[in-house]
Amino acid sequence: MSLIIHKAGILDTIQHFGVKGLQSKGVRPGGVMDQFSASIANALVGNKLNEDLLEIHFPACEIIFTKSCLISIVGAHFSAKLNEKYLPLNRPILIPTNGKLQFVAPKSGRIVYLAIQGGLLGQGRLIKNSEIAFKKKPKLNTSSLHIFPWSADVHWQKYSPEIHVIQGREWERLNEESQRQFCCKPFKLSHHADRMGYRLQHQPFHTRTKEEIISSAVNFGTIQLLPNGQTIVLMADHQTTGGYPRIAHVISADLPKLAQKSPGDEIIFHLTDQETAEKEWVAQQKHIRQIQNISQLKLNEFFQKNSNQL
Amino acid sequence: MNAENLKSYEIYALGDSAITIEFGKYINPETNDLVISRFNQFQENPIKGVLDLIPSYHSLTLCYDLNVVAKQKSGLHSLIDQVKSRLEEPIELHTHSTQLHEVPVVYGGKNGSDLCRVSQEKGIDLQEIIRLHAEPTYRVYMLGFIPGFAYLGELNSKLTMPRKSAPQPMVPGSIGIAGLQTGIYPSFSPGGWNIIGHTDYPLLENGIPILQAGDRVKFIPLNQL
Repeated sequence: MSLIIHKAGILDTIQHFGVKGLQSKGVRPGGVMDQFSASIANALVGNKLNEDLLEIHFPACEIIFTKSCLISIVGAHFSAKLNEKYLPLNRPILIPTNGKLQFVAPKSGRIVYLAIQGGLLGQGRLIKNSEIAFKKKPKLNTSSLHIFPWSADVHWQKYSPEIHVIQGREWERLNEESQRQFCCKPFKLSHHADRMGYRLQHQPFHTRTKEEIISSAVNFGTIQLLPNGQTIVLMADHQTTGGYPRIAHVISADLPKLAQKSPGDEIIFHLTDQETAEKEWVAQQKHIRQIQNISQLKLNEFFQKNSNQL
Repeated sequence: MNAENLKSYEIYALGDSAITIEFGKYINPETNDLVISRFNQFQENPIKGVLDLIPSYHSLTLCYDLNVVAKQKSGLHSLIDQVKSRLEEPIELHTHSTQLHEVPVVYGGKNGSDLCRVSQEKGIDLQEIIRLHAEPTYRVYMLGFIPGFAYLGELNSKLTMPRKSAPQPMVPGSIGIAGLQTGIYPSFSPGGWNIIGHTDYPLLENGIPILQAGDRVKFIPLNQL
């Protein structure tokens, strides 16, 4: 009742949706980098939206399913293949027993999510030969691949360079010229980009004061100004507190889009406000819940019809 | 020491999913006592939608569920109103614990590689830097950054150094200084503080931090330079 990591990837993990309530001890919340794709992946297989699932970077792991199960693949396009047949993104897929899943070429995006109906047990890094147990025993038994005819609308994943931000506590420290540059100039994502933070490439920013600030809380999406004038956006595995000036914060609704950027990709920041950030978030969540509701209906319908054959 | 008006505070947004209440502008024990007391208050009687609390030297951050907050009639303003009315409630001040940690330190050398640079930049000889760093009994103002990292204050202002221009890899037990703060890295991590020494003092027990906010720390120099 499991899947087996046939070959390890560079950074593949079983991810949750963030541990809450321990930051006062310095324990970071962690969790998925792209909450939108991860939630859609769960919705497509009928899971609760924040079920644990696989987060996969490229080069990715190879997986063997020892038992047939219902999966979905959402996020980056890594050319997923099951036993030599290409699999589409954003659809429920029935995997036959002993199916072997590979990701053969990165086409777009940076992180892909693999959700399995019922969820997975365990936590942390996926290493070669590790065996990951299903939380629930799948009732399915099929010897052939089945790709469902419907797919989720993921237009929120639009790969545009625009990322919206809210001013940070230390925004005013940037001099006027740097504030202007920050707001409209395109930056590139540097190669120093991981689950802790994404560093940006740009001309150094200049500040009105070099005064040190007192360390205080930071957040997923906080953009810190380093003393050399460079910036870093804190990502899912960010520290709980920091002492670099917080010039801005990426809005929650745009974090998934940012997470999917690869080194060299362009980013353009636009200032927005709390009200817009709330609206964007609410709209995105509504979209996810709609997909969840429709998926659930369609899955029920399908399994009722085909209960004899599965 | 800078006296602060303990009744005044400021609330600012930390992105769209957290707010920070700043109780003062400086590092001092009274402000930090207030932070710890308010942290306990919000911890014991949570506000709906608040998922996490992050106390610091002079501020308390509330991380909230944007789904819950955005649904309220006036969004974030509703949450801020609730926070303000909580802050009106009188509170008994947390007074710091009497727990004293004596932390042995080897200054300089391979695991204190920034000591010489600090000495040059400050124009203070090595022995004097050690004396100034080990002289005070520090207070643990907060835990943060990574599990078990204790922020200690207040450092002698003669030793004030900027953070490094970019974070560098740190080994467990590294003792750093930055601004008016000193601290000990409990595990491997990137860090931007100037490393002047190293300790073997245990900082984590089964992943749980040993130093607690409000505890006191005294550094005991093990070597002469």
